Amino acid sequence: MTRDGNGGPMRTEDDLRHALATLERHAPGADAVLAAVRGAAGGGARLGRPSRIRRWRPPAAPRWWRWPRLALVLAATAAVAGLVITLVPGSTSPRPGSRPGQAAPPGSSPSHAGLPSAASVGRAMLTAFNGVTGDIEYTTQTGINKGVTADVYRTWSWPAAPAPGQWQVERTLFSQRTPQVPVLAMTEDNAVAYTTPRAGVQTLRGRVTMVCYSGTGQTGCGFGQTQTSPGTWSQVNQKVWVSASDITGAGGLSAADLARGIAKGYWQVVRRTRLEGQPAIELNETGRGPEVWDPLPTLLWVNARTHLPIRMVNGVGHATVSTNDWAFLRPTPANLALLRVHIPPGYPRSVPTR
Amino acid sequence: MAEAVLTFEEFAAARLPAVLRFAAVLTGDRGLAEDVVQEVLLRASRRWESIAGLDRPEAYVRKMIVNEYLSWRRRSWRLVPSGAGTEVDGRLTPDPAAGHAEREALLAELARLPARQRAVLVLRYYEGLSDTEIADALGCASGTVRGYASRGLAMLRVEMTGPPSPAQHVIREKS
Repeated sequence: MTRDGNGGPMRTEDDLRHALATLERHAPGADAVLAAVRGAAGGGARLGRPSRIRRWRPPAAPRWWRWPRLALVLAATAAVAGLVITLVPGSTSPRPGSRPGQAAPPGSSPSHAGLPSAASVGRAMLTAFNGVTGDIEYTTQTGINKGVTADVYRTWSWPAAPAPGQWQVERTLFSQRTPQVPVLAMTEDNAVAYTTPRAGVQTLRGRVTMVCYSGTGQTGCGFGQTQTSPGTWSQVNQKVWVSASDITGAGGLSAADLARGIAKGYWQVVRRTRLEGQPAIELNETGRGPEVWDPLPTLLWVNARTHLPIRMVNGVGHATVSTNDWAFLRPTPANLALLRVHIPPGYPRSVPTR
Repeated sequence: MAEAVLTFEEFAAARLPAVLRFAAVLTGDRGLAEDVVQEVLLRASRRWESIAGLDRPEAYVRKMIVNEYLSWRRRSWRLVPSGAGTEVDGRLTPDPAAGHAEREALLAELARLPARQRAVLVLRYYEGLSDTEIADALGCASGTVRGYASRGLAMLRVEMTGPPSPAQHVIREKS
């Protein structure tokens, strides 16, 4: 390693090669992968239909839901309202994009004379976040395939914008539909608690609590290199990376990251509309950001009064659609209780395997 | 005599471990690597006859893996787990070797790169592909590849000393 002009360390290409080679240790076992492929080809998944073979392996947080790389279809934005559906039947979620009693930022009343610029919307969103930094940011990410909800991630993060040194908790509740259990079933409930590092430090140790539900077909619940057995819960200290930041550009899906992306011109304002009974500004991702996920279009609705995000839909008009809904909850005792992982009666504590 | 065409099972038996290592390096995550490879292999198995007829079936499968990785659903999670856990109340010990810590830091920064930048660096420095080959795999121009590489290397503070050397191919041919 050498030093750069500022005295900082400069790495060599060989450093990078060697570091990449060490990642080989994360390679999954070939037998398990092949068994899943054989099972999907000959069993649960029918040929010619979108495969969902990831359902057969233990879920590991964080999760991604696959997006088929389909030809880009420019769906008329007017059709989007019909696509926006209530995603979690029976959910008692608060109204997205809102916070009870929250006052609109000064000067933020929408003008019907014309559309605001994306830059001004982004800036207004960042200002709005200053008013909810101590709230619980609640997001629901839902994957839908051909109109059928495939999986749902509900995440509570508190505080929404932590200061360095502040204790932060993030809980994720994951439900999915599997070949074994063809209805949405609770699969995994985990929480990570950690002290927010100072700016620039993104590697830290957190306390990870994991409940792995049984009966959904999974053989374990993974988090990094640890795996908790179904029907048990575990708690470990584990290294985590805090990934959402300016570094990832539009890659992060935190509301603040989105706002920064909007301010930088990665989105354009489409129109004013109403969503969930709220006045909303509709935006369309331009594809000019540092990262673009297929398939576009991706639409975002921001509350025109509070300038907090309401909903984002990826893949509008495609067979597979992903939606994100946001809500900001006051840190009342009842809402703070939502941050706690629920351990079902009879579930013993286990030591996760590596 | 006509050359025997590799069956899917033969391909999997011979090359799957190497393909999985590539996916693990590409994604940096065991679970994601497993998901991506499973998805790709399922699709590949369904039209294996046409893939087996290509000059380099494995290269095609790796290209499918790259594309699958790049099209994976964007994540909303702020926290990415890393490494194994220590039981709560257990004693936490710092990394003993500075070199190991530096490599971990580099990997952490690599994990935060945008997916296309990361893919370009993996294809160049792990797979040993030329920029032209990378451009073909990603479906973009060579200049775009160089741009991704340049930005990625700058983010990682890696000093570029010259064009990728053929010796890099050794890394992925270990088994």
